[in-house]
Amino acid sequence: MDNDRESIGNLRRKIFRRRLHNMEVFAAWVAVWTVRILFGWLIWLLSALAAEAVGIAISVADFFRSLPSRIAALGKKIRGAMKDFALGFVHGNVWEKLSYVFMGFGNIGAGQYIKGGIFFLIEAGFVVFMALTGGSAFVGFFTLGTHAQSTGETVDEWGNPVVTHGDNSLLMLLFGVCTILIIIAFVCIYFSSVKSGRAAWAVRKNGERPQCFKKDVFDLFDKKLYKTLLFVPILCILAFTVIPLIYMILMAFTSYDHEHLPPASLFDWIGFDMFGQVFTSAKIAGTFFPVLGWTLLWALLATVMCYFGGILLALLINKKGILGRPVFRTVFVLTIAIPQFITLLTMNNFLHIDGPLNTLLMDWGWIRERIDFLGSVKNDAILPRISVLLVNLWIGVPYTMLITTGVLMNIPKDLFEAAKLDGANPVTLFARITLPYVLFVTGPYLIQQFIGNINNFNIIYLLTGGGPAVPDYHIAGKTDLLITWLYKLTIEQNDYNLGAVIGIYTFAASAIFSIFAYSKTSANKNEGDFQV
Amino acid sequence: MKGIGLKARRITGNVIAEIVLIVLSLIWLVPIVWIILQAFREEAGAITYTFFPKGLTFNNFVRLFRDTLFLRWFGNTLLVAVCSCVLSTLITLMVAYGMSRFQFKMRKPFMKIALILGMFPGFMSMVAVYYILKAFHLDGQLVSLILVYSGGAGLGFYVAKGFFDTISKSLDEAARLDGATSWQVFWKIIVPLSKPIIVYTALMAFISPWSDFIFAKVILGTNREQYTVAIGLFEFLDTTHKSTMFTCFAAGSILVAVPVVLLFIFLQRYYVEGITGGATKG
Repeated sequence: MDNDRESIGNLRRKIFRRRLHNMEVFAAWVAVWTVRILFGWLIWLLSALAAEAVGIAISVADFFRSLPSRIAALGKKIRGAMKDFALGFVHGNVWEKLSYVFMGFGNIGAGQYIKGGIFFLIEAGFVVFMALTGGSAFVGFFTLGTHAQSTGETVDEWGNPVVTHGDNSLLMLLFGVCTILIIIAFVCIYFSSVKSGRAAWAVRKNGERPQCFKKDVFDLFDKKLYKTLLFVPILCILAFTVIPLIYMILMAFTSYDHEHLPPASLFDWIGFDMFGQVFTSAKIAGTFFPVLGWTLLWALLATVMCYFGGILLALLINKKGILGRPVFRTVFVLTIAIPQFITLLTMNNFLHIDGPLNTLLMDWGWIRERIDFLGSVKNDAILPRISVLLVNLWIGVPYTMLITTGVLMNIPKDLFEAAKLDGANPVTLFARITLPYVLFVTGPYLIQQFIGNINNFNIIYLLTGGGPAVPDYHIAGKTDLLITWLYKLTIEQNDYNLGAVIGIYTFAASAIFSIFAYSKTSANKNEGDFQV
Repeated sequence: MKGIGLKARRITGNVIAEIVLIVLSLIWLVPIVWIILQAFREEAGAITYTFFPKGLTFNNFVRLFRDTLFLRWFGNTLLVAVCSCVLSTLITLMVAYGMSRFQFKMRKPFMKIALILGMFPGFMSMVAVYYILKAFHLDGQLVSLILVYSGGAGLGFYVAKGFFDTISKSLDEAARLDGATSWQVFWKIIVPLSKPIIVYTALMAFISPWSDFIFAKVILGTNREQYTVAIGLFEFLDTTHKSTMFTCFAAGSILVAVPVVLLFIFLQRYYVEGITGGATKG
């Protein structure tokens, strides 16, 4: 009996050891596979990058090789158009000739009174505009103001110095940009009016009647509906995106900083000075490059962590036989649905050095002294950086979970069955089927996330405010991204030209990345690996 | 034997997964529970050294309505959200239809330009937008906020265009044979078929004014009467107000979050479809 019991005990121990051994083997095997996958990706990524670099180099070389012929072709086209334009004047009748000076006369002569009248009114309006304000605004664009606001030269009857208002460079720049756009628009309308007049006469000379105005309007709701549809949206885009953007880009070439603030003083064009200063001025370069480095690191880590975290969470929630799936889903969706400024400000207070998380950890006896998660007291960079990444994970994982859930459901089941028959294990299944499939479908989303993270203003501003601020940075802290630094430089410091330069560099970084990434995903799409 | 082993393994696996999920949900819920508790907290002060409040009260909500402009801010935000929701949805659909169904010279360039413009950091142009609005004496007013929010909608047509591309063109042609113009095709055929994408666009446009505070703050400046909830509540947390107003901030946050959360949870299907461009029908 004793012997038996002993042997059973031994057997149990043996089995236990075997299981333990199995688990060790499993763990080692997971580790090996993780390393293999990571390594494989790294190689894949590097080779893709290299191939892409070669591809870009070749296409750039091609572009420059074909440049002369392209320029020649363009020149030929322009010359052709100009010749056509001049010949139209020479061969045209009186009305057509008149239309070169008075817009719309070509149409009026051919019988399109309303259309011609509208063209003529546009010209009249443009002339009046240029005479009244446009002309001076156009000149102002180049001078940006000639006399500054001055105090003290003249004295009023009580002996106080009188403030004489000077030019406002800021408004002059803005009106200048608008005027130039109006001039460009007018030139386009001018050419199209000449063309339209000649087209009307061509019809007339064939002995037919040119299209009446009513039919023109009808066309705008049928064949040419796109013109009607796009008119208002394009005006909006011009007013709220394009003009502001041109305006800001131009600011990068001016001396608009805290020492040249309109209306008190003027600023002027200074060319590319500011672009160089970002690299040459020790203080600014010493901030720009570390902040750029952190921005890229942040964007990469934040995107990758949220992405994989989200996929794993989605797999976990959708595991066969999990109870309470809708409850879990709702819990995680809550963080997406609550407006972000609320969750972030809540987190800011929750992680505060005197906040509830520290209180809880102290009460449970897990920590001895309070942890400065957000770097509000100490100047340590690591902890606040980890904190913002983790809070971002807290916010971002549910997004990916929500989006990949549907994608996971759609993976063709026979892929898994076939792989299982070939003896594939769960890790291989994940690495070779699940992940590539999800990556394929959500590729564009991933790119958007990366760009969004480069420009993730809210999380940094509301959580750490960019802190901890350090003296060797120029008005920036250790968690500042380029975008929050830009905010501090412009809204708080009024160094608009430097802010504009930083903005342009940020844009360049994200544009290059997304063009590269989109070309990769569209290339993937063409292969159609997963298209059923 | 083997079958039982497999079953046992699956059950242990599920138990572990269940435990992990519960722990994760707790991590996700604790901050939210905490802010809800703060809204009902009786003691004053910004931070208390206990997780659970010592006493509960509705007083914070009363103070929020009586002593602050919260109700007005809420109304402002609702107005902006509704208007910009309608306008942006209209604009987005119009551009998307134009891009999906018409061939014209500027089509390809316009699509490329839209992609590039979308990549510029949004508030690089913020200051300029402010000066443009100021030049028209529109700064500090809600109208300008509506204009700014819906003005950019013309660039976000990609998702809707992708959706329209999937609607068969033979429908258009059939209608046109019956004498319908493109304008009628758009309103009578395309729009009724595009419920998911309309809901997605409208949802996004409706939610963003509740969240955005940086654009709103620059444009509205110091005109407190016209604030939206985001700026108003943010103001409660500045150094001078925080010690007295923190619990009111929590109360206000809950009042803002509840309607938005409900809306989102009911419409999340459309959200997922919109983001993945209809790649998933989950």
